[in-house]
Amino acid sequence: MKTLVFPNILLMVCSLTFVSCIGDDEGGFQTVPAFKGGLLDANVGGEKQPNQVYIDLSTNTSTAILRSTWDLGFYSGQEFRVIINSSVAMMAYRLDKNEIDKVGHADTLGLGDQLSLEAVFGALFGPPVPWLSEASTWIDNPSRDLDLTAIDEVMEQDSDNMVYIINRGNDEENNSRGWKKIQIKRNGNGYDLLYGDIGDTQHSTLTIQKDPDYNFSFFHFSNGLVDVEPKAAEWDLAFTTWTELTELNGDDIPYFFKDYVIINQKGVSVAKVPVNDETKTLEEFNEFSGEDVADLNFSDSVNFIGDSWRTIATPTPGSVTSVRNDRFFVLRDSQNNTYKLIFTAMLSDQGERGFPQILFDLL
Amino acid sequence: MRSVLACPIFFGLFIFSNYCISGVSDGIVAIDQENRKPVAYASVLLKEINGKGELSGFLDQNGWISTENMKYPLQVKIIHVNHLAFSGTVSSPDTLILDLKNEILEEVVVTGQYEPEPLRNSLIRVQTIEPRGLENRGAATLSQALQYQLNYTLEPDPATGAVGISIQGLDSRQVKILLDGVPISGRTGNSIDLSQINISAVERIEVVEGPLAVQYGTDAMAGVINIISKTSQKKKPYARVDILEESVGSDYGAEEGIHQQGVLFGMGVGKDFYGQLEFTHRFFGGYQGGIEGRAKLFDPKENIYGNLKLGFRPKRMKIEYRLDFFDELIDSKANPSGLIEPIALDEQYHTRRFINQLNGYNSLSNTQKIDWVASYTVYSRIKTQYAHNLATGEKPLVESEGAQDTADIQAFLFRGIYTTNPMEGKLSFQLGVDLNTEKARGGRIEGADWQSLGDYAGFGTMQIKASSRFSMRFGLRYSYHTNYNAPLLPSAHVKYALSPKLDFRLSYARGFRAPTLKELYFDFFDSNHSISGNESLQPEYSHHLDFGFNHRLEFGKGYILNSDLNFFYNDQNNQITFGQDALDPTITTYINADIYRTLGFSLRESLGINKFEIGAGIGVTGRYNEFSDSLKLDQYLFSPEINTSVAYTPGFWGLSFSLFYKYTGKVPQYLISEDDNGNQDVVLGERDPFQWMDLSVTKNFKKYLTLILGVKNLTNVTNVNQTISGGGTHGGGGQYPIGYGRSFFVRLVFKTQNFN
Repeated sequence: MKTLVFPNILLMVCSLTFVSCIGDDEGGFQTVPAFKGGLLDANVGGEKQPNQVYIDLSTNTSTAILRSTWDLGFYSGQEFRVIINSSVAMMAYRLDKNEIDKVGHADTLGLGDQLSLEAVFGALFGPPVPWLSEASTWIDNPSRDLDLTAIDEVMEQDSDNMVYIINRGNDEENNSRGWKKIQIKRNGNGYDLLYGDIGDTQHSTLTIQKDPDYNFSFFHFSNGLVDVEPKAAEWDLAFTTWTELTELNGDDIPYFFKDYVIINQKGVSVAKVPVNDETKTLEEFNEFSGEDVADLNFSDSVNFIGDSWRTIATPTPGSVTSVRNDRFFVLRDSQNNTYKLIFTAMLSDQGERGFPQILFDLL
Repeated sequence: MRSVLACPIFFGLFIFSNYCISGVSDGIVAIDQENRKPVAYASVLLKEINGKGELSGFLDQNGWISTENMKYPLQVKIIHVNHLAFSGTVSSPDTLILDLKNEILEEVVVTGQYEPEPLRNSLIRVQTIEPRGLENRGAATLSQALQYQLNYTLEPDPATGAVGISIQGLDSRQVKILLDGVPISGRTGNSIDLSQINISAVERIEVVEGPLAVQYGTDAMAGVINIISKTSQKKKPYARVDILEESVGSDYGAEEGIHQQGVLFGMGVGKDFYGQLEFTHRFFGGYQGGIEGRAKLFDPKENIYGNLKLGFRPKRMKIEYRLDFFDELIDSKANPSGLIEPIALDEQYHTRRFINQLNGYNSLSNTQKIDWVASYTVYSRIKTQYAHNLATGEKPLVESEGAQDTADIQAFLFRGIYTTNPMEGKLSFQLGVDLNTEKARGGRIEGADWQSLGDYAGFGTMQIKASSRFSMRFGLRYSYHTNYNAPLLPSAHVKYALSPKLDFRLSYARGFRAPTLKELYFDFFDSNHSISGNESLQPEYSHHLDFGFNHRLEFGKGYILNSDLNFFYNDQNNQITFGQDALDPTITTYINADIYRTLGFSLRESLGINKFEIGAGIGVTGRYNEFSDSLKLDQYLFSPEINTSVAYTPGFWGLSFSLFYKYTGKVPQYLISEDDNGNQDVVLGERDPFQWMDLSVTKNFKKYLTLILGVKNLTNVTNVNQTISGGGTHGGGGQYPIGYGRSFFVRLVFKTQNFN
């Protein structure tokens, strides 16, 4: 009799475990393992760099959108802040008026010679002008620090919110996108955007709610609310163009940068790893393991990488438009995956700029 | 016994008769004063005083020329490179005695003159650079030829490989380069690239500082450099072969260093026809200059120069076809971009210049002549950029904007000058027309089609010899220009002989520089730049004033000490620079804005004594620049220069030694300076002083072969520091490349016996 029971118990135990194995895969929580890594060519679009490309390392996806898809971004977090589109060199000029319908062409007198990148650059060649030192306040700070945006915090009191003249910058073909006037007020836990052409005496209004799944709600003057960034948890870094600040003749002035990299405002941090031997950059990258991560200083600044991943050729002999071989980066995403990533190309194999490539690996 | 004596006597009579009888009865003979040997192949001009007959030609190998078809008395002028010019009246066949001259003096000059003049007589202060010194120094390009001149600074540009020159502090845009009096067209950037001009077989280089704008028009504000090519001779074939092997610093090999070969061949055909062909090939292996990787500080380049002359030159006239051909290929390798499959954006620059020319002169009478030239230049500079995949070896052409570019220039010129001296020596004048058209496209010039300009001018000069001591020349030029209001340009030159040995000269001239087609029609718009040309640009103007003394002291046994002291002042306004477009401040364009002044002096001494020829000089240039409202040099900043040269010919083994030395003092400059954060600013700085020295030994084997061994840049100058004056928050300026470091050369020159 002994011999008959044992096999039955064994069978029962096995069948239980067998059932439990199958049961695990059906319904319930399923986490897709994070993508292990590889080469990624970002579809920035070549010479004119028409696209912003948002990359999610853990799913190996990238989303490309035309830079001129949006104008204003309304912050979804606690504060009431609005960003302008840096990638098309937009500028915002604050007037001392808080009634938008009373603002007209007379209020923009002289701004045509000031409120644009071309005007700022042109001013460098003429006699010194007093407004040049203010130009840095007409753009969002390159760090996208929400305390340093061109448009001031949207205040509770409606009359504290001023009207802004907006130069919408240049599109992908370097054509001017035109000018608008705006005024933003709070509406409960959302925003009221008042906008119109400079000469309009009757403005348009749009109410914008905060969507917690996204960092910002994006708006285009002709198309209303538009899709730009993926959900906040679904992207890590992006290739874009950017309006940076550069010091010339003692002033910080806006200057347009191509081949710029930003990281997600929320949940993503990044650190720089210096390379010891620049002739063996890829080898050092390949040897870098998760153990070395502990010594690194992580930053969550949006433009931590910025333009520091590449050099641009100057007329000096020997200078070259290329990725820098003296550093790579470690990125920690919002699901706590840690990736090492290195920029491996800036040019296509036809020698055209605007074809960046990264190599990344899950640690 | 008698027969024995008779031989030498008869022989002696025979010799004597050759000189006294056959030579004198129907011709003129010239002999050297010291050794009584005939002055062979001297250039001679004979004019009947009481008639119209004229004979120009060369003395034969016996120093003799026939005058059987001419009526005495005759005016005789004899010029020979080794002798003082002879000028006088001869009433019957005679033997003329010519004095040997020292090499440094008594050159004959042509630039700005009515006809070739001994240097001493020239109203305009001309400086000459003789070919023997150039040969001994291993100098082969125009930039090398000029580097020792006082108050001349070479400006090499690594980005394009071009070399410009500034004279008296005025930059290379304002220096006009002429080939036998005809301007060269086709600039790299804004000035002519002097390293593209080959002077291996040159006759002489003449330089005039200060504008010769009346005769030569635009761009001659700082001065004129006239390259006199080898005169073609109507005689038996003559030839010269020149081989130069040189290291670039310590680099020398098949693909490194400098390898140059040149040949010149000419001959006369029949009585009046002649032809001459010159061809030079030059390879420069490039210079790394501390740049890391595949890229070099100065890129390798290969040049080919050719010159062909075919002419007909009977008495009293000449007509000549001339072709100058230049081809240059620069191979510019870039450093790679990318880590996995590196792409290097390699470039090639192919420049070509063809100058087709017809020139001539016509002596209408003994006192009138016409010189004319018609010239057509075709110039192109093609830039090709490849995406060189260093892993696979593929090299497709890059298709981005601006990667491939062709700049074309075509220029046509006609000059006709009528010269007359109705009162021989006392009054002479010139009337001339100078017609120029130029068209250009490509190279960031707006539009796909040609942009063109035309400059049509007439000028006149009058020279008055008021007394044996005092002469003066006045000139005026009027132009009509299609793009701007052309100025009326005056000039005045005065020469006064304070004593038979001491001359005083004073000159005033107005000069101008016309805006180039690039400055008028530039077009560069991208996301960061909005730069356009300016069609309403006006020319830059200058006033130039100079005066000086020239003293010639002869002492001892034919020793000569020549001193030249010269003061200059240049006042330029309307200088073309970058600025805001007046109608649209968002656009950057060229504007007439700057004020720039220079003043200074130079003192040059040259001494010929025994077996030595020594030269020494000191020069100082002061610069004053109102660059913009924020950057001003409110005072003159002075830069000194010292040069010296020594040539020693001991007299045995055909040897001679030469030493050249130049000290260049601090030069004020605008620099881009960067601080620790990489922020840039334009500040006033200065370029450090440096010294340059060349040393060489020449050995002449017989008459055909010359071997030269030399060291260039003995002081091993490579880069010169640029420092910021006054310190401040910005770091140092950086390095300015001047030379390749100490280099060595060997030069072998073959000449046929009749080559001179």
